[in-house]
Amino acid sequence: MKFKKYSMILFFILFMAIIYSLGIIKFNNWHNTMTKLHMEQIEDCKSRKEEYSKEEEREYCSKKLKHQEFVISYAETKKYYDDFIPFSSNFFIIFLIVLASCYYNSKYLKNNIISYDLARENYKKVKYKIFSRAWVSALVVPFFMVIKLIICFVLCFYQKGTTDILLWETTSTFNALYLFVDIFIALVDCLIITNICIVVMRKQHHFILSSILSYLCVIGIELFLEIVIDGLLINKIFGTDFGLVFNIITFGHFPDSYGIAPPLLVSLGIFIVTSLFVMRSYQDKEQLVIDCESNS
Amino acid sequence: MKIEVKNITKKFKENCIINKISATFESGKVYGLYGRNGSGKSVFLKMIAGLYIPTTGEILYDGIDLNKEDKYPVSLRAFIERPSFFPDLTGYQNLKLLAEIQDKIGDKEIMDALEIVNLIEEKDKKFSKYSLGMKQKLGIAQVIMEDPEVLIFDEPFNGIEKESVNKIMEYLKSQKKEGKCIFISTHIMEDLNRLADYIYEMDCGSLIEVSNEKNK
Amino acid sequence: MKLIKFSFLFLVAVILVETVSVFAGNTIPSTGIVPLFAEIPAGKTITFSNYTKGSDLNAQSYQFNTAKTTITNPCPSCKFKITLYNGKNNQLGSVTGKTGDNIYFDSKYNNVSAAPGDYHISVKRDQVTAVTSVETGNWYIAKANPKAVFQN
Repeated sequence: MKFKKYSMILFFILFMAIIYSLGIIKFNNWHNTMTKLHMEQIEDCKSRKEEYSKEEEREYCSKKLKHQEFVISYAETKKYYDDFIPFSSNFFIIFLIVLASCYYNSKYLKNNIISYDLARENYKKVKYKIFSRAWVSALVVPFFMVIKLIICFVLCFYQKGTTDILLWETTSTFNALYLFVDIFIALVDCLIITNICIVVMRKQHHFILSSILSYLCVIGIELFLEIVIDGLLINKIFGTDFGLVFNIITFGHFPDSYGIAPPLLVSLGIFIVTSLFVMRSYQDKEQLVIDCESNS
Repeated sequence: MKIEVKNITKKFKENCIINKISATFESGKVYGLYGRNGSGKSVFLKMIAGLYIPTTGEILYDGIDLNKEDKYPVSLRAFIERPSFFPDLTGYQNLKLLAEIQDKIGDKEIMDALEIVNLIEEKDKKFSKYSLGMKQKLGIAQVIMEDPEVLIFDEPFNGIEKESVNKIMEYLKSQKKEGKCIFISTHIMEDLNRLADYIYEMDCGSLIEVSNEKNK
Repeated sequence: MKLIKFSFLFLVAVILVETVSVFAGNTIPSTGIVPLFAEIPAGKTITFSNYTKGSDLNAQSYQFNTAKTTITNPCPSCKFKITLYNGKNNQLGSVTGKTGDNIYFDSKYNNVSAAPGDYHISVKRDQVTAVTSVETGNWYIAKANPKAVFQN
């Protein structure tokens, strides 16, 4: 029975697992191609060693001969692996989050199962079950971001089979704190999206209609943040592009031009606002029961 | 279990559906309800079941107003208006899903309930494939399977064949003897006369006692 | 119901189509630097056509000049991802930067992009956005860029 409840989320997880696996295959193919290209260039350098006349030729070849294996750092591995994951457009991932959030709950509300549940547990529990079933779908993206870090570690390690410290160097935008915040912001943004779905489903119980409406709401809210908050308010009045931090649909590339704190606080703020909307929408038990009866 | 209804009214926008009803309902009795369409029977039963909240007045379950304390009537089960279940699940799976909430019963009790309503052979059929009578039976089964103290049925016998109706009625009579409090609303007076100790007529939002066990 | 299903499928199809190709000329100026202008609709990637790098052996790099969006002009904090490909469409490196950044495509451990051959680049907005972005920059394809740094 739990399988039926979470079947759309399981489909989402399966989809992510498949595209991540395809990403590994593509990365390996790319690495092999690059290794071959690198070796060809090394051979070319070796064969033409006597002919070096220009300084830049000597410099070019000496760098090649210094690193005779094609090696990239952990940060670069992550960068390339990101590119090789197919169908990873955020617009598409958001759509999957919406589908997973709406699937069971829309059927639950549309078929008025709530009237039986309310005889078996109090409304607060019933409400939180509705919310948690949607919130679970917000865990998929952050979970796979963690998986990605592990995959990249393995891919990076196996290209040289060593824990050469140079490969693991960190920078101001690639360190443990940064990666953690990246994943945390993705989680909060996904929760915002599921909150939007929960609010839409309060009135629209048809699965496909609620999914489409929820998706349009997410894009609509993003447009509002970009055009009104960023463009009309912050940019026009203060003359700064600080409004870039008002973004809820970028997972894994949070806008870090102003540091970690602003995008984190903005995402948390929007999450709190959407959560208040969620609580408010589901406050009236009787009206919810009436709406479920009329929609069933 | 004693349910006290104290001067309740129910309004939807400006329409008064239930108009100052007071009554007491006790264990070991069957209360029948009849009335024309739109008289407020379903609304009244939904308020007893805790789904609707009275606009004024209160409903006390053993002295406690559950609405004020955001609680639910623990041992009350209701089947009101249309039966609604997940269409993609079988009859059995739907009942199992509901039983898992309080986790008080197992497969045996679910099968017993299906047996009583004569739905055992169709238990593995998807709900979407059920006829009206089968859907009604499943609605009744979800009420009786957990052996509640209060049972509420709103037009339960629509579309059900006579044999099954008789079997269910006999079951409800046995439940009454065990001290259960049963509410049943129907247009079929014959069924009310057979089963109910008290018969009420719902008319323009008012509850009028038509007959009781003394004058039947 | 049919209309709903059709709208649903259309929405899915629109989301999946991402890349827009722009065909510009492919002659490297004598300076060895190709100036680029990319107008990027939301969610899209702009790909430029091949340029042929001759005997120059400098590692390639990119200088981010200006950026703006439909609603923010200028947008110095807007980040863009520039990806370098060879003539066989193998990805050789990518850089992510904002106005004023100068970054090598290669890592510090190799210089694959320094070799002669055909190359092209693609440009996309690093952040997911619902508005159109415009980016201008200089692609140092056949010239040393003393201000360039390695990204990671």
